[in-house]
Amino acid sequence: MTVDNTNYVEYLIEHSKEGRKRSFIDLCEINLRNVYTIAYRLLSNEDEAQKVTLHTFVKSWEKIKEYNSKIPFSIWMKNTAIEYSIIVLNNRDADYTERKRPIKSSSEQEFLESHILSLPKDDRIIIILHDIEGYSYKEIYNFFENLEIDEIKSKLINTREYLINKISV
Amino acid sequence: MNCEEIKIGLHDFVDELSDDIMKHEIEVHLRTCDKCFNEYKKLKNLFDKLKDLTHTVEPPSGIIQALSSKLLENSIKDDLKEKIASDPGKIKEEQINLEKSILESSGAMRKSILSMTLMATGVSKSLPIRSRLNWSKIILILLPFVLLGVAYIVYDLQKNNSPWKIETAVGRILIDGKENITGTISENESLLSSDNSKAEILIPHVGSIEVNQNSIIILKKAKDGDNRITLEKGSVKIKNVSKEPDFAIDLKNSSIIDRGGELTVSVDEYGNAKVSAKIGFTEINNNSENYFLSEKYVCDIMNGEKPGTPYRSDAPDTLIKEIKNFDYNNGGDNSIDNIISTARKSDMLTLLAIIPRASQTKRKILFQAITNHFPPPANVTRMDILNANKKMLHLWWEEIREQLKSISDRK
Repeated sequence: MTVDNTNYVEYLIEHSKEGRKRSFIDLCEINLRNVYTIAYRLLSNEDEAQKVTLHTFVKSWEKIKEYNSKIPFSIWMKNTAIEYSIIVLNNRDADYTERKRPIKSSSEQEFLESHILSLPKDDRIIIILHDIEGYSYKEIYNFFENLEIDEIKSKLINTREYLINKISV
Repeated sequence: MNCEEIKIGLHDFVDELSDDIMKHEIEVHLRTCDKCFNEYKKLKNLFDKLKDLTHTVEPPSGIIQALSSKLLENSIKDDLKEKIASDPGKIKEEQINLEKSILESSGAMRKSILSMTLMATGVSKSLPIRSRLNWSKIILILLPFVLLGVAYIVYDLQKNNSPWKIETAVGRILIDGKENITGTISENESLLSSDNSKAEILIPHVGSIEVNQNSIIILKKAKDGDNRITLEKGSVKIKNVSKEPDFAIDLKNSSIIDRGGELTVSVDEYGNAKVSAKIGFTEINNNSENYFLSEKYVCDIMNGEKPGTPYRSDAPDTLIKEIKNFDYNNGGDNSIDNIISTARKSDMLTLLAIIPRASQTKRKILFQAITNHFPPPANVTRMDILNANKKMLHLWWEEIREQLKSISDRK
């Protein structure tokens, strides 16, 4: 059974599996914003987000034959992007400091977004995956090596309280 | 439960993870406790804002470009690896040829290179070990690069498929102004047919071109993936079965690119062209703008003008007339209304093509008219279409084309 993929996307996937690069590149263009957005939010760094996006596409091309329509293609690519983003996050040098972001206040959205980008790594991953992207605790648990479900949950609750305080000032 | 417990429980409540008892208890509590209800509202407010966040980040341009060169680079590497793995004999042969050519090309260095080549192949043992190591090392390091270059040139050359064979010719045709003796046409040669002559040209790996009466074509490029002819006048029918479906027909101001399938292109004595896609889709390139033509659609290109609005080959005459009015007689909103009212389900791609050239009000009506038959795909929003976003229009175009195709396939 196929889920959610439009006819056109199905058509492109089929051609990509046959080895047509042009079709695959079209697929990437459709998913570009999706993939880049998640990578950028998780990493809070434009350069790394760009690298992860490119890497996600290249790897997806290499394993396109394994894709089987059990989940929508966009989710399949997004999962890959999340995996790589977390790998990049975990492999950062110990002295890597995330760039201090100015808190933008030109719109409510930007204000909230910049607060999320300034969160500590794990808190940021959890709120993005759970509350923005709609992943379940179980799925988020699978992306982490060292956090239990209860820890994920309590971190999320703290982050929500923190953000509520920020936006209701 | 007290307020503190409720505060924690609220999170499961908004995530819809609480069991029925818990849910009931929280609902009852919220009704009576203003403080907790306030907490609940704040949480809801955060969720509403988070929902609005999706897709606000603009990806940098250039990623797709980088991807396409990265994929190309990887595939060239893979090809080479495969070649080396599958055909060591051939590589050896190339290696020997290469060494030979180095020898021939440098007279003065001849002796030393000769001994170095011998060393590298392990024949000569009379020279000091140190220099032997250095030279063979250098050769070994350089070899892959030279091989890569040679492999690429060979790969590129084997893509040339000139001359093309003239399969059948009825009556008298002229190749470059001369009688057709060889039965072939090469790059930069022209083919001319008269009132009562016709020809069919076979293109290796690609398909065929039928040249009708009174036509002049020039073969510009004969290479797999980049076949190109110029149609000066008359008409041609292209059948393209290639896996690399790049076949281009150049007209005065436009280029027609066949993306695999069957199409006819004709140019009359005034330079007006008609492109008609039978099978597969076709791209029309004009002033570096791309126009797409689905199968069973026709596009007229008046001399020197932009391509006209495409219409279905079986469209009713009244519709075609109205499209001409719109394209060339400033038919405007009036024409759009008439086009919408005469258009059938299969004419929806015509309506889609009009959107970028219509006013905001008409765009809304066009959007509705098309949606009635083909709702836009999930990623395409009404706003995108009202703004005539090119990419989104194209996504919708692909979707409608696929559906029209499957309708006619079913028949």
